[in-house]
Amino acid sequence: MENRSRITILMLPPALWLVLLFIVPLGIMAVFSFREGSFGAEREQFTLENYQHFFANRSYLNLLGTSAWIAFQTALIAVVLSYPLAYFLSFRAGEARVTLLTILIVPAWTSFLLRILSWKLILGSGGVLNTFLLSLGVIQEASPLLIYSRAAVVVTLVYVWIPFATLPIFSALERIDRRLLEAAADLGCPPWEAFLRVTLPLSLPGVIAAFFFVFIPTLGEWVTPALVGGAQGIMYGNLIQDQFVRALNWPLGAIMSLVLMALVLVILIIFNRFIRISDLAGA
Amino acid sequence: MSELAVELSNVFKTFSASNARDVNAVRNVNLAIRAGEFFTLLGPSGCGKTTTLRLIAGFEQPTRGEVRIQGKPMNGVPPYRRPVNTVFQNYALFPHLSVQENVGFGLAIKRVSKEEKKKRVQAALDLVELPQAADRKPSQLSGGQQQRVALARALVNQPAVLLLDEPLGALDLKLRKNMQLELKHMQELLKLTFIYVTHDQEEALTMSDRIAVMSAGNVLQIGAPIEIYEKPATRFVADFIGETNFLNGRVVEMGTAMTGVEVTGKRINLPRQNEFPTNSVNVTLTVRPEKVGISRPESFADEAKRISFSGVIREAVYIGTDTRYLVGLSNAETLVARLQSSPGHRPGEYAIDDPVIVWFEPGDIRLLTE
Repeated sequence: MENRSRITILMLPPALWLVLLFIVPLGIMAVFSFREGSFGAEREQFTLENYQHFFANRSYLNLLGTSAWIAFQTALIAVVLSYPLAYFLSFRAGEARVTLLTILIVPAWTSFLLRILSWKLILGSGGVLNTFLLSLGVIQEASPLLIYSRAAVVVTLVYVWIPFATLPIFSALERIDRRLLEAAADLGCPPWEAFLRVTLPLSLPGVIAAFFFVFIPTLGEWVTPALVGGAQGIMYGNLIQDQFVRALNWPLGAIMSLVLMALVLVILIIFNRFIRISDLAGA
Repeated sequence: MSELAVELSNVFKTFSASNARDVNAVRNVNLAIRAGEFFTLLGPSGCGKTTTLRLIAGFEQPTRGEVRIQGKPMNGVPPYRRPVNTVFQNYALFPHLSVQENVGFGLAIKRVSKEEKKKRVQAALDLVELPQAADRKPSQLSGGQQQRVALARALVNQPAVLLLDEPLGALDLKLRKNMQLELKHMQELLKLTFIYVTHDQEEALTMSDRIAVMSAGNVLQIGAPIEIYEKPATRFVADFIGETNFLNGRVVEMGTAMTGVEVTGKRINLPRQNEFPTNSVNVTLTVRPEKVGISRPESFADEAKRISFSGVIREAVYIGTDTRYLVGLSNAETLVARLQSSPGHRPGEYAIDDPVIVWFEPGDIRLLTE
């Protein structure tokens, strides 16, 4: 009993935090989605028109689909690139691992905006990449396609997320009992097969965590597409931002946000149904 | 000439630690382990027994010397190409695989057909008496059951040599005793070569055909349990295996058939030990507590060949079937005697401060140089 009350006390601050800053705003958004307008007397009118408008206009859902596709590509590429990095850190780096891990994370301490803007210098018309390709003669004139495209968004986001994708994979690899690899070798497994049969499946929870670490925030991303995406690279997040900041159509913005959240929930539920993360860990 | 399963010739293993001096885990080890033998590497922790096993398994490569399995040189051969399998200390079962996938792991890698794999996995699980556990995960099994799965996982591959690294260390005493007998039966049934690592001397004596006693990277003695116990080659071996008494002595005469030694101011004659170096003067004598007899001075029959000392009972500890007496000798040395409760000796027969005669047969004494 005493233990229980102690846990309650410990849980109280974070619970309060979540209620105040997550549940309540979510409720406000839900309320707004049923209103006619953002300001004045229109605020008080209950309506379902916003929902009709949202689902009637295919372009909103299309953009959500595009954004999901961009987020999927970003997460996939980030995980594929992070895995060897995490593997090297965990299995090969030895005592240097802490130093190398720090070096990997240090850029993430600098401003998010700064890191994205620096990609403008790389990808821009007068940027490093264009200049380099020009000097090689690969292209005749500076290509504007390198920046302000969907690819630019993916490239930039992959760069931003790699440290965050590496960490869960690294920690999953660290948890693998190295004796299991000896056991695999003892049973006749050459190293690459031991990787496929033991290391990879046991690190899968980390891989999945890394994927969603990248996928979910990327799905709602709006800063990166605004800076390097151009008209082509626009994402669903920009649409939401527009509703709140420019169009001042808060009800529509609220609906868009709720739909986005519903999509994430559905993905997680479907995923959890097919692969139970606890099973993967063997716990 | 009997066939050798494993041979180690002049094997050294040195681990170089950064910022520290090198650690010689194994020094000049020579072993010739026969096919079908239950061979035990016995020693305290850090004696090099596990490193020796890992050298045979292939997880370590010798710094010097040669390892041969079934006559084939194994230096540079990785573990996955050696005809041996290991039962690991903490079992090292794959947590993401079911029991039958764990057991079938080695067969899956060898691309054994599905039907045969199924048959052999089932046979292995039957052998370790876990036929019903096939679909469970290792985490759902008890320690004893996990141990059996680890055994089945190794045996199913029909290795030439089975290596066991303290496989019973994590089990409770009763289960351990049962598993000792079961392992021994299994080894006899399958006619397999077992190389068994343990620090438990009783376990080693119970199960082994031969034992190699190791200390500080060296093999001190190799022999059958009875030899190791009755004829220890060094003080360490005598001390490590069971309880024993040590007395200091001085060689005063070296005859062709006997050695004259002075112990606690008394000259005694011992049968000559051939392996004992002739130039030693200061020696240690060792005798097992159960070989020591106690009599009252008035009833002691001083038979010619018996060696006897007078002493005083210092301590009497009743331990069920036996009573353990500590007897003080005239020169402040002590002897432990273990007397079984019997019609001739009732517990509590001798009390503290009783003057007694302690005696033993000359053949039960061993001379040691160190």
